Amino acid sequence: MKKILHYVSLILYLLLIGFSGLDSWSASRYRVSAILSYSNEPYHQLGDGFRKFFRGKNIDIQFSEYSLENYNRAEICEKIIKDKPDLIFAVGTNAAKLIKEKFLTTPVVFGMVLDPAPLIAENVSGVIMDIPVIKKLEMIKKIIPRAGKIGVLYSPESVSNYQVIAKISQQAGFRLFAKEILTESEIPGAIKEIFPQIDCFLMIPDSKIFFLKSIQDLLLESLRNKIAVVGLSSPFTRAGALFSLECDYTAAGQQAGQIAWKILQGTKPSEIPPEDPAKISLSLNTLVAERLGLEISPEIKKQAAKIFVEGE
Amino acid sequence: MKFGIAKKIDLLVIGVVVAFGFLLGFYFIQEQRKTLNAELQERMGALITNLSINSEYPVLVKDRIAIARLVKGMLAQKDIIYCRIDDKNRQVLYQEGSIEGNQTKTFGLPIVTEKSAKLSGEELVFNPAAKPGGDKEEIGRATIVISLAGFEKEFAKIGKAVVFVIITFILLAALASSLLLKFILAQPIKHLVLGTKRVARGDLNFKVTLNRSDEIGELASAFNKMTDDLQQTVVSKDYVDNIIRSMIDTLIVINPDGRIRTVNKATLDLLGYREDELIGKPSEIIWTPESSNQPLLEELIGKEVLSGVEKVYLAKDGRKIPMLFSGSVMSSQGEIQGIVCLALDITERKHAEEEKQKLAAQLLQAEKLAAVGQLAGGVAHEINNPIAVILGFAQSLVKRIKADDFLAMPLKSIEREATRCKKLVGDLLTFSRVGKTQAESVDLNRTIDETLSLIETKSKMQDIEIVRNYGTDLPNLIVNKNQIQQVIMNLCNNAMDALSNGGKITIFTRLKDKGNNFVEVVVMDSGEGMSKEVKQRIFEPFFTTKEVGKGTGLGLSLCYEIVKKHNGSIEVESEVGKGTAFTIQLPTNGAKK
Repeated sequence: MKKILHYVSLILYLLLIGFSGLDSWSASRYRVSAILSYSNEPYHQLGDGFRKFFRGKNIDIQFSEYSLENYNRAEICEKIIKDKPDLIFAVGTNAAKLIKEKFLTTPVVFGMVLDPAPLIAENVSGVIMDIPVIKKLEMIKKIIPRAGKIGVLYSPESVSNYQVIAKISQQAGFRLFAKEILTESEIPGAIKEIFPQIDCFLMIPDSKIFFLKSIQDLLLESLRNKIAVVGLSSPFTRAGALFSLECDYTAAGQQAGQIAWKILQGTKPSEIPPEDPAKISLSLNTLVAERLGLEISPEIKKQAAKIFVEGE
Repeated sequence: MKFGIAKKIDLLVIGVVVAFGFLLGFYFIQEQRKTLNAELQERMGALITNLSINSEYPVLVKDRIAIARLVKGMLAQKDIIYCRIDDKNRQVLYQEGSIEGNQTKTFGLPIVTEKSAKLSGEELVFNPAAKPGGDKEEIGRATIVISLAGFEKEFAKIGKAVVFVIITFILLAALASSLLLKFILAQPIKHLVLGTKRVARGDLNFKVTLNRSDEIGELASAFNKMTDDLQQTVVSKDYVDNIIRSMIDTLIVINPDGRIRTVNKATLDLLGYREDELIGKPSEIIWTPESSNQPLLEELIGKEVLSGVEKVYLAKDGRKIPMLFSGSVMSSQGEIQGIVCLALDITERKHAEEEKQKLAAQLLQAEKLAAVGQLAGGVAHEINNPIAVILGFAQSLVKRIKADDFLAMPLKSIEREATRCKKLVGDLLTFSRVGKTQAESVDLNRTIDETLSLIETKSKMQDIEIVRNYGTDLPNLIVNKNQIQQVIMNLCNNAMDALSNGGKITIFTRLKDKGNNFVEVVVMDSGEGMSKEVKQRIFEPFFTTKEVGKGTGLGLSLCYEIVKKHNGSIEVESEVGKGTAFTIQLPTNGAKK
């Protein structure tokens, strides 16, 4: 009799555990782990956008978020392993690289990545951060109609980017003046060399060439020489670039969510190539425009998400 | 040069102001120097820091044109005469300017860049201004040299201004303090000093007029009150001085050390001293040796008050003056301040007492004599006849018997004693009959000469010299010549009896008294003298110092009676071993020579 009671108790106990696990599992259908390279505003905007997509769809997602600023790589990997996510959302190049390296089978969607080339893999897809060159060139045409000659500086790190620009600018009817920079000391000389030849300078996201001091120097020279500079984002516009195009981070997050949903539904990541940002923000500096003698049309101003006037 | 209190305070204030001014000036100048220095340091620090920061990129990229621009911009700043940018190997990237003169200062600062952990591509896009942080790396050095000439010039200008202000402050402070002291302190004090001098000169009516409500005003009020009180005191003192001056009694105040402190006029007049001859001298100067003041003063200090003590003062001319002395101790808060001696000249009183005593003695003597005279007269008269019978028969029997008869000696004794009795009875009868005098105008000197001639022989036998010292202008006296002779005779006989071993008898005659109302006869011998006790009884009847049978003791009593009957006086002065002098005074009754 005692034995019977013992076995019945055991079965009931096991059933209880099983049902609670089952309830837990059935409460969150999908598990997504997000890893952020940095814990700052644009990254959070992207993350919010990602979650907003699923909320909008009423998709039940158990979302875990980790930042490389708060945990080291090993800790994050451990947490992700424990989470057993259905999908990993990597925000920023560093996070994406880590996940791609450590998780070869789990689907990965990236965001906030300028250059996706190093991340290409079977289980990886995402939204590219960089604005397509053609968009920039189109905007140059709108804002600086007389601009025909464009200058760029590039380094070995951004040579691929340069090559794309070179190809498209030619297609778009621009003459490109480019200078490769190998050392920081070449930058001032290169700027001085290019500026007399161009109407507009196009910045390429290359931290080897563009850092605080060189950016200051570039913008100062551009204002002195009345050469328009196309910046990389609104901070550049505020600092002295004529205009900048950047992606809308929240929209990009939603876009990434959409890609993630497709993958969760069964599409293979390799079948979804990395996408350019669907929504682009324009920022204008009217003071620089005035300095350059440019009149910016009201329509363009309407398009701008941010307009920087004097002293802002 | 005399420095008044105002000048002293003035000098002190000026000294303090000058010292303070210089200290303040020195401190201020030093502080200004520090401030200017600090400002210079701050300005140069800001400039060099800016240069260092702004040079970071040009140095990094070796942009010499940008560096030159920065250096030129620096040289355009005030006081900067030289600027240089070096790379990290201290190779000059650019320099401009020249270092001239000694008054320069160099400022230098490393040019650093932060070693950046590379920004990732996306970080470059959305936060190009983010400083990635990391180790600082020195990539060069910025140096500027400034000329301190401008600084020193500025400092000198400030220094001159400070010195000018300080000197002005000192002068103004000195002037202000001088004026203030003059009006607040110097003038009122001068006024008070003037008042003090006036009061010292005796002008007690002077009043200090200072209408002030401060301490000076209080001092002036106190001064005026003091002069009022002083005036009262002086009046009181004059009053007291007058009293002391007017006193008949002598007043001497002696200090505790025994020296004379104060004497009044009466004392000076009595003793014949000047005030300066007594003040400050030991008080012994006025006491006779016998009546030394020391025990008296000790007794006085013990009892505090003495009254009615007879003392003898010593005058300047040596006179001894009997005084009735009273004294008291003057003390304040238990400390003896002096001894007040009050004394009254009792010379007249003494004389009067002596006279009184003498008169009493004389009266007693006269009464005695009168009594004796009456008794003697009665007794003598009764026994005169029996004595005569006894003497008669004794003489008759002595003549009849032989010398070797056994009755011869007894009979001679009877004769001798009967003779003596007869003489005694005769004396008594004479004594009792002295009453009426048969007066006549007598030349006293001649009368005395006649008397002396009777005893001259005897005197020579006793080796006694008789000296006559007669006055020449004596008037004749209206006296009983025989009785006067008897008096002279008795006195001379007594003198000769006293000169048993020889000697001298001097007889003086002179006019006595200012009005020449008395003639004085003095019989003086250089004999044994008599004691005080004998002198007191010398005129008593039957009193004698001679052996029994040598005298009746009635001689001087008889002299006394005779002189008294003549309205004169007889006195004796004698001292044992020094002789005796009988002085007789007889009235002239207005008679003139």
